Amino acid sequence: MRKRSRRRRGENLLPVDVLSALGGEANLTSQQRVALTRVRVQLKEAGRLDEQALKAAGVPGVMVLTGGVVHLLTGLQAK
Amino acid sequence: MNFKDNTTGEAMNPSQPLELLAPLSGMLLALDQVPDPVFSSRMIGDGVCIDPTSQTLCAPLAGVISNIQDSGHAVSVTDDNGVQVLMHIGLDTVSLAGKGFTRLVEEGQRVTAGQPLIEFDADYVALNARSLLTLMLVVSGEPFVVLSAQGDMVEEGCPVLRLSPGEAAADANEQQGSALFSKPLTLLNAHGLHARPAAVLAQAAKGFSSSIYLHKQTQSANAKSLVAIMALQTVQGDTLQVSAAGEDAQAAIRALAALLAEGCGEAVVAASEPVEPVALVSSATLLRGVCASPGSAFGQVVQVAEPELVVNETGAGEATERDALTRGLLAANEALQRLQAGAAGSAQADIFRAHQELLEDPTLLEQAHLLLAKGKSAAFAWNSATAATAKLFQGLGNTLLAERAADLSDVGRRVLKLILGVEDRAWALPEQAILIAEQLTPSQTANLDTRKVMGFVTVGGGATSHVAILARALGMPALCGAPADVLALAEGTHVLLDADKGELHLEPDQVDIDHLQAARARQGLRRQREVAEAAQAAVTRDGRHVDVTANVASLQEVEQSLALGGEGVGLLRSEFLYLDRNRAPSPAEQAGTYRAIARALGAERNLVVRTLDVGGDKPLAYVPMEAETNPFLGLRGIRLCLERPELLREQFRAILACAGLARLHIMLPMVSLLSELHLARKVLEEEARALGLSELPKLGIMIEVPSAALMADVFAPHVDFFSIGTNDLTQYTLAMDRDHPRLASQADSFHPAVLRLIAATVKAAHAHGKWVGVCGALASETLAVPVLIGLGVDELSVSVPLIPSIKATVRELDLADCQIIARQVLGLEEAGQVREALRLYHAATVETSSVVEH
Repeated sequence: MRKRSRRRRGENLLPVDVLSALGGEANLTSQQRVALTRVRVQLKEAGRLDEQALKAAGVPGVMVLTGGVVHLLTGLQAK
Repeated sequence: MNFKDNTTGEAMNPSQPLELLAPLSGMLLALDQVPDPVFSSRMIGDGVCIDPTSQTLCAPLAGVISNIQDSGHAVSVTDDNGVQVLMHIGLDTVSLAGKGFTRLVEEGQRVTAGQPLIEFDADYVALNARSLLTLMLVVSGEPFVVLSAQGDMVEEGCPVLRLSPGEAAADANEQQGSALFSKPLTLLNAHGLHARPAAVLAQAAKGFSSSIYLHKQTQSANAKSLVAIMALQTVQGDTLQVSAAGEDAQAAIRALAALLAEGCGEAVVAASEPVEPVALVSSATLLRGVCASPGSAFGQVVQVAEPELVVNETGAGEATERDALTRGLLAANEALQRLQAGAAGSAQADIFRAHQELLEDPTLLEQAHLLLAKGKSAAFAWNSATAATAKLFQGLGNTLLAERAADLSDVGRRVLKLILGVEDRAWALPEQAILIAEQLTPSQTANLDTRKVMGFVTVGGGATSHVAILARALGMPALCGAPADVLALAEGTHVLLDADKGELHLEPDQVDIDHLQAARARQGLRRQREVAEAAQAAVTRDGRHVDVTANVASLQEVEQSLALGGEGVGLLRSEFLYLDRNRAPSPAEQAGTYRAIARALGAERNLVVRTLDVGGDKPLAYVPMEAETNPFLGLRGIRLCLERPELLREQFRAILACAGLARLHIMLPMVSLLSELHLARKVLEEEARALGLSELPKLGIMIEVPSAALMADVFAPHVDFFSIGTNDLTQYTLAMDRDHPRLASQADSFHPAVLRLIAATVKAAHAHGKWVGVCGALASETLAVPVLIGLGVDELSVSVPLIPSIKATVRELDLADCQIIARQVLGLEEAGQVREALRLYHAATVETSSVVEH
């Protein structure tokens, strides 16, 4: 049961408003859950990221790294 | 800039509250939420957790770096009033061994609040460790208030905790008065006072108002400080004393001495004082352990203990000591090279190869050289570096890392002896020795005269420990996990080791001994006869020929297999070219190895090369892979190779270099889809064409995934052969991890479900004129031979030492009988019933065959 819901989330890790704050789905080359509390995305154009919009979309923490890699902090998921 | 002036300028009144600055920017989380009990239980100390968004860890307060881990993932700072703060970047980051971390400060250095301490590569850590969650813990125990709410974003350098100097500050004031001392105590903890027991001890010490110290020879440590206790670097057998000064000194000493004697929360072996060794064992004549290698033996006890090495701390000048270390490392490297060449099997050779890698470990060398620069002796520097890292590994509660720690201690000791000029002598063993030890290291066993050893008994270790692997390679019985009482057995005591039952009999019955010795004599004779007849073909009494080939991982094993009657190689594990290496072997090196093996076999024998079979469960250092939640269901075997086609192409080219020298077969592991076979075949054909080969080698697949077995009739037209990997086929069919502590015994390849898949595979293959081999462990079990032959398996590829006995077993059988028994067992319910049926059948055939022979 739990596994199934996790898989469904895995196919679409990020809600629409977060995707648009990242420059739209087309600006993402990859997205994956990493390190328990993060979603790691690879952007084609890092300049299209809008940190304010991400905050407004409910992403509390954003870590912009080199090469268009961005970590979105999700907090620890409640068990 | 002079840090010292800065900090003394800021030195504050101990009664003022102290604010700790956020060491990083990021999201503040409560400690309770951290998914690691070591931290969430506050065993090490209370504090906060930050999920970082910055990549430089800064000092939360001014003070001295009291400890910084070589691997750069943890650091502690102690201020002038004794407030001690530990920061730990990420969870399980010690496994990164320093990769991704850059230390900016050294132990003993004074730092200002906010000064950068460690830089880290957040993306690398996120991709390679469990988590980036970073802990800041007040290990000296002062109470505090958190200045931000959980879930808030905090900025690096902003105050995040306010410490009340309250009780802990009073604690920090030295209690006056003369100190009381405990009696000297022998430390029993196997790994000394590493993080967990040290935390328990410090916690207990904090319950007393007296100032309390732990003494080890001339060194002493504040017993209320976890870090100070760890810095004492205690080891098992150290003599320690507790001292206390203050009102409750007496009670503190009594409580802490008792806690130390009990192991500070760790299970420890009762003190092996020379008081009552006989009384310890005379109460029982039977000791139990876990079977690590089957068999039984009668012999006399030989206790294996390592001598203490005396290490002088001060060196004779940096250049001299540096040379001494370099010489020691070189000599150790050469010794390990020799040991590899003479190893009892590839498993043992692998261990020594891994040890060689450790000699080049940059973190170890860096730490040793730092100590040399401080004027320490080569022996002291090397010993401290290896001991500290090994302890770190052991403290983490991870079996794999703990085994790595054992390797590190072993290689550390090897170099230390070379530096100190202590010679390793081959032990003068008596005949029929049963070796008993807390733990046997690879280096100890390498010098053994194995002709005199009958078996092993160790207190530590399990079925995957080094001694277990060695014992199985030598075909000797071994018992692991024996009670510590065995260490008190007198040398020369006659004992009966029955590893099959997990028993060590201290006063064995003469009848039992006679029985065992008669059985061993029969076994010895049988083995002699089997080896003498090894060259004869494996043909059943009614004329069915079965190919008995070898599972190998080196040229040396190929040569051994031929001497023992092997009729070819049914499985060459090509990973052996790749494992334990930091770089890919060059194409020329790969090709050279395949050619040498093919030449040894000759044009008339089969050589089945399995392509690279690695994955998340057996990773390769230079093929970085993303961590997988379930590596057994992830990118393993052919899946990984198809993800990285260049790797596969290069391997095909290297393998094709030996075409024509032997009957070359290429085998793909972990195939579950037909498309994988088609893709791989296409790559193979392209490479063969590029090399101008007129004839393709045979191409087959491993049957180790149920989908491949069930679809064998669809696969069969597209392959030249199948080879069944029974180990993986069993775990995937029964959905049981073969290494699971509780399920391993049920993950039995004799299960009728597995046998039915074998039957289906053979039927499909034969319908298309293709042959089927079994290269999994099932083929090496004599009990399984009749059922495999009865199901129609054409080739048994077995571990090298077992070739003669499997061939002899085949020669005792009748194909017609085997077919009947195979049909019968397919209808049984469980593996246990199949084994029982085959045991009965075996007993019957052995009786009739001995009648025929005499």
